[in-house]
Amino acid sequence: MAVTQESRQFVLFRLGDEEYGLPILSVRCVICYMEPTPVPLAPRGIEGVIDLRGQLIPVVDISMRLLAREFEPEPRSRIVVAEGDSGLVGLAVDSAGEVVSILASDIRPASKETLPVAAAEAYEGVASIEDRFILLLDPAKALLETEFMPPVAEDGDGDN
Amino acid sequence: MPGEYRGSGRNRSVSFKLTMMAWVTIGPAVAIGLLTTALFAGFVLRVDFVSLIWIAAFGGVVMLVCAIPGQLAYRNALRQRVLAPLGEVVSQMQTSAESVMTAAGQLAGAASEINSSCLEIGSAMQKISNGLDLQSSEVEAMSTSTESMTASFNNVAARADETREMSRQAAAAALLGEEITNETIRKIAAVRNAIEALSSSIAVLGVRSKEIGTIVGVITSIADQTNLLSLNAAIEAARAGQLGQGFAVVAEQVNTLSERSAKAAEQIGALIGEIQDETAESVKRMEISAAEVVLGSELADKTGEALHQITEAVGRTAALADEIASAMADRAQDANKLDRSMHDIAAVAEESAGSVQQSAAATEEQAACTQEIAAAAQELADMARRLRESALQFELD
Repeated sequence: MAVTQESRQFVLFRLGDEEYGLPILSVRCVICYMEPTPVPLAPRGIEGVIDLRGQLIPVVDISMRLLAREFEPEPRSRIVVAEGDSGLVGLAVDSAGEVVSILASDIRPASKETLPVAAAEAYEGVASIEDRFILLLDPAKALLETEFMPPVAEDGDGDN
Repeated sequence: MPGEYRGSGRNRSVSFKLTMMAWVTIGPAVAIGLLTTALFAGFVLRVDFVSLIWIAAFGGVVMLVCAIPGQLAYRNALRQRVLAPLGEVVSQMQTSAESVMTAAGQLAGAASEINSSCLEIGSAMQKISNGLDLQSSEVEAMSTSTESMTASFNNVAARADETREMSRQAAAAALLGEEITNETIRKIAAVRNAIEALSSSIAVLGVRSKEIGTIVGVITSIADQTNLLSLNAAIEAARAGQLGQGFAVVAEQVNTLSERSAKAAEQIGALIGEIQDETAESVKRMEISAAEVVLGSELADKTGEALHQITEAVGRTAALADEIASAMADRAQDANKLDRSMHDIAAVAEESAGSVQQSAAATEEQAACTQEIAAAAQELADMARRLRESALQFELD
């Protein structure tokens, strides 16, 4: 998804100590965390499904995907409902509550050396707002329903 | 005569001797007188020597003839008028001498007895004198002891006075202490009440802060909900594109408010938490304080009791010290009297010693006198004996 604007809006969420951002247009809504119902034979990284106003949507353990550690629910935990290529996907996060506008010029490409995990291809880039360091996710890569852990493709990460 | 028969022979010889003596005495004088007369007569009358002799012889014969009857008469008269009474006197003298001898012997015996008695008296006097000297020195020593005793009594009395004074002060101090302790007990009770009130107040405060905590929880959850709503509103606004831009601004403001509310609620929550911790701690401390206060109250009670006992004991001590002081004063007076009596006794003993000395001297003198008397009696006896012997030699006749 290529957005060429002076500034772009991101929905921020937190996982552990890191702050992440998703492009606002790829987010449908943010809801309070609810325990997902486990699904038999679900692919790895899928916690289960939740009922969002009559619609069953899978919840991805993005913590496991990005940080290789299990998600632990907290009172302020949220589920960010994003629109993936294959439909709505829930992301279980520690907290979410802010929308920020980031100038395109403030976004820098993510360098694979500085990123925490090998799953660097899930990132679109990084942005610094004041003293905050925000990792911007590429929804197309991050929201794959199936696992993307095995680093198969070397096919560059889209635009800058 | 009955008194004469014994000395009749002696009387005779006495008379004879007297006659002879008269003759011997008178005779030569008469003869010389006659001779002188004759010589003078012869010288004057120129009578020759032979005539003279004759005349003298004649005169002598005449004289003798004349003298014989005179002599006889004289002898008779002498015998009757002198020798008989003299014999009587001599015999009386003999009996007197004998009785004098006897009496003198008795006197000598009595004198020697008196003398020995005097000696005994003298030695007894010496003993008495020694005893009196000893008594005097003992009395002196006793007097010294009595004086030091008096000083001791006075000292003790003074100490007892001091003790009484100290006891009085101590009693006053203990009484004051008792009052203060009672005041302390009242204050402690007040503190206890205050602590209890404070404790319940703090408990209420704890309950209130818990309630506030609950309310803060509600506010926090509302802020969260608001935040979520604002977030979703922002998302919706973004999705509405150009049309949603005004809404997006509102959503952002609401978001800001919700964040501020959340932050404030969080601060309040933290403060409430601190308050609750402090309250719990305070309640705990209050309980400890209450226990300490109870303990303090009990201790103060005990202190009060102890002080009361001290007051009583000190009062008794003061009374005892009083008694001691008065008893000591009495004893000191007694000792003074004793001392005076001792001095009197000493004076009397000294006087007695003097008297005894005088008596001893007198006794010695008496002894000497009796010795003299004995000697005189002896002499008298001797004299009487000699007189008797002399009287025995008398032979009147």
